[in-house]
Amino acid sequence: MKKLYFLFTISFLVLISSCQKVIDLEVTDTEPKLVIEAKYDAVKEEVFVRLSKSINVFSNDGYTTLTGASVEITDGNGVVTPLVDQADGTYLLENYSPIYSAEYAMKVTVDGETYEASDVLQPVVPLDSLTTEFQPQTPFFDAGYVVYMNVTDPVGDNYYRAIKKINGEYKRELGDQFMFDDDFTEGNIQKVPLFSELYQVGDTVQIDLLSYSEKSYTYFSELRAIAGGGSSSAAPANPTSYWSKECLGHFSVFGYDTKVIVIEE
Amino acid sequence: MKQLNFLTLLLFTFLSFSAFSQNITISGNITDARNGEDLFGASLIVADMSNTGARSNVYGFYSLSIPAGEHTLIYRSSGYEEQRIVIQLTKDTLINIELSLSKDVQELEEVEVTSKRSNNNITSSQMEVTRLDPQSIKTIPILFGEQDVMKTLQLTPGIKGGGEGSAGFYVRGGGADQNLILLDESTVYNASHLLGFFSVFNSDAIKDVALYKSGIPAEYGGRASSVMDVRMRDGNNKKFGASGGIGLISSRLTVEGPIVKDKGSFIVSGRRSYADVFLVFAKEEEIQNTTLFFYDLNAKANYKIGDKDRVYISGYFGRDKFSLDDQFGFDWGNATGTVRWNHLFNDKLFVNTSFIYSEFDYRFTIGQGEDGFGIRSKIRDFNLKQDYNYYINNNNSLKFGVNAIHHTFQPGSLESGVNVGFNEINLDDRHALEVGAYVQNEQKVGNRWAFMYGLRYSGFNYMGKGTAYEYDDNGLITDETTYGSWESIKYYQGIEPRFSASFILNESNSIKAGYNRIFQYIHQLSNTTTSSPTDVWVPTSNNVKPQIGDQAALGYYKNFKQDEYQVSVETYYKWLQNQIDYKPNANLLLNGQIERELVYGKGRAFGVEFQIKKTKGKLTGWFNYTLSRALRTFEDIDAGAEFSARQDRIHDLNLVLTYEINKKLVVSTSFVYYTGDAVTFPSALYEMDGYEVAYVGKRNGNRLPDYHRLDLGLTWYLKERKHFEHNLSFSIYNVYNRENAFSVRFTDSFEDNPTGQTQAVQTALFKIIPSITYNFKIK
Repeated sequence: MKKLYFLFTISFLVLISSCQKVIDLEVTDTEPKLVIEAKYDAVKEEVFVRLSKSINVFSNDGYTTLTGASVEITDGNGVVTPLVDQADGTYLLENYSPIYSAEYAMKVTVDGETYEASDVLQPVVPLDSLTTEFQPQTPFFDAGYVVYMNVTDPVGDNYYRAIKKINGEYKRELGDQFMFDDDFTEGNIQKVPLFSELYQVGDTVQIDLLSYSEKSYTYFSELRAIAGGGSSSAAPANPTSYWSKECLGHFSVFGYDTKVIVIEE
Repeated sequence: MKQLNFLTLLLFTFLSFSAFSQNITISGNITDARNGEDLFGASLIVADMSNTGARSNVYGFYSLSIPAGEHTLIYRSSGYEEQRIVIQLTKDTLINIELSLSKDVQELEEVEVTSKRSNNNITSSQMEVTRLDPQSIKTIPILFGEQDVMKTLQLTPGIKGGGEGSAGFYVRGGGADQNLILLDESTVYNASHLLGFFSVFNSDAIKDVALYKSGIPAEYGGRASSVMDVRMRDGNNKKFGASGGIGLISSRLTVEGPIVKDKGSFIVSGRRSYADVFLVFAKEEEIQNTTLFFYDLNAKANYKIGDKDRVYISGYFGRDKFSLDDQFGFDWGNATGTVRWNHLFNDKLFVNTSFIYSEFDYRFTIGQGEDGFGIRSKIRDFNLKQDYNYYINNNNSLKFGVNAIHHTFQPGSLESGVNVGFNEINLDDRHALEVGAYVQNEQKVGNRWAFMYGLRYSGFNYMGKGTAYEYDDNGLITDETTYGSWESIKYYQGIEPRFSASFILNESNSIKAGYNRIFQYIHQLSNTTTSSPTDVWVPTSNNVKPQIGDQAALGYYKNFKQDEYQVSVETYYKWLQNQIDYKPNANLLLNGQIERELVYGKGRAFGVEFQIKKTKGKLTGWFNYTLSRALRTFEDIDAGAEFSARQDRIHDLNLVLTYEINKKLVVSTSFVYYTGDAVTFPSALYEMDGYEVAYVGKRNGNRLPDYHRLDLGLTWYLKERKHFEHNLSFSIYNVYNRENAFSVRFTDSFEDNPTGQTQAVQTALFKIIPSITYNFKIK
C-alpha cells in the first residue's frame, strides 16, 4: 500500500518538475557499532554469520570485519553446533538439516561479550504457480509482462518475502525486495503481482518465496523501510533488535519454495 | 456538578451586570456603502466622551449605551472614510451606517488628519490578532500568481508554513493539527489543494481572515494552538456584478447581486485549475486521459427579515481529482454548509444560531473493476451552535454561548475486485459528541486598562456504536468491549480559562498579556513528514487522551508618526500535553488498531517575535523576525531525551513591501528566510543482508539547509471604464533561483559517482517561476 502511494507522490512531483543535486551537509557521526548478520537457510542447509562494524556516513573506508569470534547454533533439541571461522569475518556451517516448527538459538561471543538471539523455522508455504499477464504500453510504463505469484494462504498469520532471480541473476536492488503478509488476504488464494518490473518474451523468472517468522518479517520490513536513505517517514527508527545485547543485525531461519517461468507470448 | 457551577456562574455574571444604570442605547449595523457587506471590527467613537466607543461584531452589529443629550458620533473602519453624525439622543436609537471606501491617497491623508488615530492595535484588549482581508494582499507576489490568504498569513510572525509541497502550517511551535480552520464557522479538515500548493480559500469569495495565536477568545475551542477564522463575503446587496481572473494554473469567476435590494444578496464564486487541459495536446492517448485538477465552489445568500432578523445560508464544495488513465485515481475534498439566523432580542442583546455541516473524504483507486481495488475514508460533523453578544454598558460587553458537535469518523474501507484477492475491509465507524459552553466579558477599567476574561467548558463523549480495545505495552489486545449506539465509552471534560489584558501607557504605547488553555479532542495522524490528504483524523478515546495546550504571552506595542509605523514585540511560552507520535514504521492506513501504533509525550515551545509594519503611504509592508524553539519529549523516543519538533525553526524572517509607483503601477516584493527544518539523518552506515543500511541518528537531530527565497510582483491597472476595471499581475517566484531542499536522501548511486562514496542528495521542488494573471471586474 505504502509503496503505491509512494509511487503516486513521486510521479506527482515529477509532473511539477523537481530537481536534484548533491549538497554538503553535516551529519552527527556515532562510534562504530557491531553488526551481526546471522541466517540459517533451511533449503541450502547452511548457517551463515558475518560480523562487521558500522562506518561514518561519508566515509571512504571499507567495512571492517571481525574474526576470531566464537559462534554456535542450538537446534530445537538443544544440540549445540559451532560454526567454522572463515577468517574473513564470516562463519559457516554446512549440511545442517532442518527441523521445521522448531526454535533455533544463535550465540556469538566476540571481544568478551556474548550476544544471543533465536528464531522459529516456519513450515514452508508452497508457491502454487507463476502466471503472467500482458500489460500494454502506458505513459508511465513500457509494455511487458507482469508476473503473478499464486499462493494458497494457509489460515493463521503468514509472512512472506519474494526473492527474484531473472535470467540466472539474483536481483539485489532495494526495489526488488518484496515483502508481504496476509493482513488483507487471510486464508484466501492470493494472486500477488510483482509490479516493480515488467518482463519480455524469453525472460526466465525464478521466484524463491520465503516463509518468515513474524519477528524476522518485522525486522526485514523495518530494515527495508530505512534502507532507502530517505527521510520521509515521520517516525524513522532503526529496526528492532532481537539480540540480547545492544548491536545491529538479526538472526533469521527460513525455508522457501521455488518456481521458474519462461515468459511466452 | 461542575456543569451546574458553570451555569450558576453564567447566570450570576448576567444578573450582576443587568442592574446597571439606565442609559440610552444606540445600535445598528455598519456596512460597506458599495455593496452592503457587513464591516467586522468597524468602530464607533463618541467624540465628546473620552474612552467611549464600540466595535462591530462579525455580522456588522454594534451597540453602545451612553447618557442622553447631544453627541458627536464618529464611525470609522480602516480603509474607509469616516462618518460623523451629530445627534440629539432622547431614546434608544437604531443607526445603520454605510461607510465609503477612501477614494485615493490624498483623501486617505485627509482622513489621517481628521481622524486622530487608527490605533486599534494599541487599544484593544485582545492580544495581537493577525488579520487579513483579501483586498489588502492583492499585490503581494505569490506562486503561480494565485493570491492566497494562507500563504500570506505564513509571512506574518509566529505562523510558519509547512514548507513547499506541504499543506499544513504551524503556529508558535504547535503541531499542524492544532489549528482550528473555520470557514463561516464550519471546520475545514484539509485546507489544501494539489498537496498544499494552494489553499482552499478562493480570495474572491472571502471577506476577512483572522488568525488568533494567543489570548484565544472563549468562543473558540477544540484545537490547542490557534484559530483561523475565515468569513465568506455576503455578496453585493445593491447591484449585480461579476469579477474574475484568468491565470496560468487556474481561473476564477464570481457573480453577486441583490436578491431584494438592500435586504438580501447572494454570491457564487468558482475556481478551477486546468493543468490537465493542456494534456489533450499530448501524443499518447493515456496522457490525454490523465486528470489533474481541483475546483472550489463557494455560495452564500442572506436575507433581512425586518430589522431584527437576518438569515444566511452558505456552502463550500471543493475537490481535487487526480487520475492516470484507468490505472490509478485519487481524489479528495471538503464540503461544508452553514445555516445561520441572526436575531436581535433588543438593542443590547444579539444572538446568532448556526447549524453547520462539515465533511472531508478521500478516495483512492488502483486499477478498475475486477482487477482493481479502492480505499476510502471520511470524517463528518454536525454542529449546532448558539452565540450571544450582550452589550451591558459602555464598559462591559458579554459573550456567551453553547455548541455541540457530533463527529463521525469513517477510518477506512477497502473494496476489491475479484481478481485482486484482497478481502473487503470495513473499519467500524467511530462516533463522538463534543460539547462546549462559554462566557466571556470584555471590560474597560478607567482609561488605561482593558480586560477580556472568560471560561470555556469543553466535554467530549467518545461513544458507540463500536468496540473499544485495551492494549498492553506491546500493543497486544488485552480486552475488548462492545458498546451500543450513543452508549458512552469514555467521557473527558475540562475547564479552559481565557484571559487577556491591555494596559495603555499612552495613545501610542501599550502592553498586553494573555493566557489561554485549550483542550483538543480530535487528532490528525500522518506517517510522512509532509501532510497529505490520507492523513487520518482520530478521536480521543479510551486509549488516546485529549491534547492540552497552555500558552502565556506578553507583548509591547508602539505606534510612531501618527500610527504610520507600528512596532511590536511579543513573547510566548507554550506547554503541550498528551502529544502524539508513532511507533517505528507505524501503519496508519486501514488499520483498525491504529491506537496501538501511537506513543504519547509532551511538548513546549517558546519564542520572541519582533515586527515593524508601515501601514500608510506609497510604501507599505512589514518586516518581522522570530527567535523560537519547538521541542518535544517522548518516553519512547531516544529514551526520553528532548528533541526538536520538525518545525523548530530557530530563526525566521519575513519582509513584505509594496510600493505604489503611480495610480497604474504597484510593485511588491517578499523575502523569506528560516532555519532548515529539524530532520533525522543517518549517523552511520552498515552492511546487512547484502544492503548498505543507514543507522538512524537522534530524532530530528539534524537540519535541512536553511530556506530562503525572494519573490517579485508587479500589478498594472489597465484603463478603467465606468462599469469595468481590469489589471494584469506579473509575478516571479524565487527570483534568484534558490534550490530549497524539499527532502534529502543519502545514496551512493546518484548520477556518476566514481568513488562510490555516499552523498547527500537534495530534492528541490521549485526553481524560478514567472507567471501572469489577468483580473477583471464588472461593476
